[in-house]
Amino acid sequence: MGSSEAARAGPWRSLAARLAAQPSARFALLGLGVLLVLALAGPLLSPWRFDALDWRHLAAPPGQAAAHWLGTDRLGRDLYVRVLGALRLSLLVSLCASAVSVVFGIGYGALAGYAGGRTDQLMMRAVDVLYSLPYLLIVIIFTSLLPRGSLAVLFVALGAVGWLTSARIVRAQTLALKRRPFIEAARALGVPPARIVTRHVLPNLIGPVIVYATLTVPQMILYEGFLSFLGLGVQEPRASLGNLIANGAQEMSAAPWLIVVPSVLLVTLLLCLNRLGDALRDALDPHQE
Amino acid sequence: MSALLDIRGLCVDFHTPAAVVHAVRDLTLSVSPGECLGVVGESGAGKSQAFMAVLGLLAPPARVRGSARFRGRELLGLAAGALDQLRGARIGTVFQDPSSCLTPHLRIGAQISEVRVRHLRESARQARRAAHALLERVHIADAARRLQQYPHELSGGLRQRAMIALALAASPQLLIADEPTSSLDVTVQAQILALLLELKRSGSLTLVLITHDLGAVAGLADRIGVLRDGTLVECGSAQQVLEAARTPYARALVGAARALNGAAPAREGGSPTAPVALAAENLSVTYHRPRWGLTSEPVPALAEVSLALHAGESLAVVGESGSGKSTLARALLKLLPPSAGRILWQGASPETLGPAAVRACRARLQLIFQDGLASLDPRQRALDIVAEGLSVHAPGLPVAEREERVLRALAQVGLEPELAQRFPHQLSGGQCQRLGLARAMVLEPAVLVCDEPLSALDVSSQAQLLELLQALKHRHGVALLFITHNLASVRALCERVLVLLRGRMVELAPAATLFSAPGHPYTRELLDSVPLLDAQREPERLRRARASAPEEPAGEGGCPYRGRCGYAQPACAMAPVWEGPSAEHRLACRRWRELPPP
Repeated sequence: MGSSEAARAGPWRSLAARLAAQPSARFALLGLGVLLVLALAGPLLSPWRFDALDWRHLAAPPGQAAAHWLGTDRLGRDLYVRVLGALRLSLLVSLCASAVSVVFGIGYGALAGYAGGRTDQLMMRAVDVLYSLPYLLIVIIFTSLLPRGSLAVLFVALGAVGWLTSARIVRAQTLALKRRPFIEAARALGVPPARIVTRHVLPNLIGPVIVYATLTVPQMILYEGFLSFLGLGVQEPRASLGNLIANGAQEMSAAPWLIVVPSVLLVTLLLCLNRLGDALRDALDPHQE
Repeated sequence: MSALLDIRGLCVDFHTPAAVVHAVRDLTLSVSPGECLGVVGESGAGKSQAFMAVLGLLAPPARVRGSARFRGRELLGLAAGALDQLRGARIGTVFQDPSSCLTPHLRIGAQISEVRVRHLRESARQARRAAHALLERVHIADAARRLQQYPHELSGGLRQRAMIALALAASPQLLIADEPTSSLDVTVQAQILALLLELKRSGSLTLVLITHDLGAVAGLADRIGVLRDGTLVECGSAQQVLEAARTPYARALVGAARALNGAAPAREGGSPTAPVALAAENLSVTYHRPRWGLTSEPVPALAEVSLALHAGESLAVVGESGSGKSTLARALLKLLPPSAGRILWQGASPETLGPAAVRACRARLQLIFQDGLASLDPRQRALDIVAEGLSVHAPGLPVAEREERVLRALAQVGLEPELAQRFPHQLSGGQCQRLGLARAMVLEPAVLVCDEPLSALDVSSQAQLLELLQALKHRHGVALLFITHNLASVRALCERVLVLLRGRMVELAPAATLFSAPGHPYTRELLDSVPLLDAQREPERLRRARASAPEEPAGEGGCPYRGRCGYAQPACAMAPVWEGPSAEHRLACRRWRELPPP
């Protein structure tokens, strides 16, 4: 049975191999790795802190002051440190919020879709009601309940918005899957419902869900930027990619590097995530083997 | 006379990253004007690919070499514009699945007129009139109304007729029909074949009939070409191929078709004194079609069906599509709630059991599906698919023993152990069906409910699967409930036959009685729909089979067959009585005593 054991230990290894076989996936993984290392270790290389003010170099363009590799903003804060700190914060917030919303959405959607009937109706009408509430209102309510400026508010606010869409997508997919003969075959075999959902429904949902999840991450970064811009998210002097871009946009003509640097970083991050999502979906498709 | 279509040295290769697949190898064939050529082969033989290549319908990675001349003009490498002038206008095509080949959002009339306007430069009014005439030519009753309907509003048979009308719209000289009857019921199959025969006789139409089913070409084809793995292994007159094929492969194909369509009746087996494994008492199932999301309209799918399947016995349930036979299978296995009546599993009603106990009972009652591939989880390997039942019903089984039982089940259905690591899409249709069978047999069930297990398979795979089911039945004493639309296929397998029509029982009899002395007129029609595989007698049969579509049955209640029945009387509008010549032979016909012997 040696050969079959090897094959059985193999799904993750073969997934990695199939990912590596796609050049764009290798590129995306490499890009994400570099960004991650930069976000974690990058700020340590610079003598500046993210909130330190350098009065001698206000709004200095990159290269003018030797210690400020990417220049400074109007208050003389080092852009290199701020932008990498912002990257770290944005990654943390968006990955956590996406993970929370996708995991919760999958559970909720798969349950509603598989249960069907009245349970489904009840659960999905609840989603409709939440959808129809203006989400800013929810966020403002949360901010007034929780300490201002805490990251917890952001997670809750972003998660509360994100899971609704993923629950709808998952439910629709589940409804379509439920009618497929192999689900009926599992029922006829006497497989308990919980096992049908985990063994047959969820694995077959993975394609659209992964693509959706990789699309949620950029969406979350944008939401977070919007909330921070309104003063509801990340507060000064902390920086996130969203509020760096928002601030940079105001001084675009005088100090273009303030918008160019965080934008380039954001675009690279989003490109890598989207490519990885597509590549993952392809690699997870059994038809590829 | 020179050939209408002359194919020389045609090769079709698919260049995939893994390998080069030779779909068609050096095919040389010609079709003379006015003749009908049958092209026969198993799936994957390249028969469709060859003619798709001729029509310029293959896209890369396919590469086509060789020559195909239509009236002396080379088709291969022809520019797209010139091909468009030919396709539809000079060469018409009919495909297997009419539901996916008609545009869903256009009315039938609009689709047919489009061809006339495009190719014959007719005005819209002329085209509409021509479309009406075409529908009448393919015997669609009430043509004016049908022209205004959308494809989904038509039945499968009517759709295929509309598809033929569409292919004939610009009066082509050559009609290529690719498996035109494979997705249809046997009764409708016979009608469509009769229609094609009539069209062939009436005009100057040249016909290429591509099929896996020799039965479908026996009555139509003047010549038959047999393809295997892309190579033409035999080509000769229909009579010669059917009666005295030269190559062993062609002989095997003819043999498989004969085995399906006319084998000796089953030996009597499974005594009526054996305990009842699965039974239904006055079982009815009603679907509810929602109307405006508020109310719903009841659609009866099954009405008052009673049956008893004894241990070790095999019972066939036969009927056309819409007869409720799949609904019956699902209701019997408690996969659908009945609206009235009850089911009995080994004498006990599962309604009295809790959900966990019902699931435990399911190990003894297994289901085989029509579409083998769709019934298998695309993300599981064969090994895991077969093992699932064991891990649910015998969770304590050691891994090694489980694996051994899985491999034994695979061997039982004739699957190589190497296939255990494959995903379903890497298996052929026949292998998928065997895998479904292994998944059921690994639990050592008492009853196997087979829902049209043959209809998605090639004739040769069908014959093999039938043989396998027979062997399993004899070796393991499993009782079979075999659901099919093809009465002939159950002759060798089943001891008793139940005929259903529109959700109601029509006739129940021992197989030997039913085949020799069918009582109900509908059963007689079903028997008459079986192809004869005889180039002389088959056209005769097709002529009897009426090229026209049957009338819709009038009104609700009464005998469901009376709209099509030659013996119908006003009294037939009343509910028929379930009676018959003997305790084993019962039928639902008011006039069964007066009918002439078959």
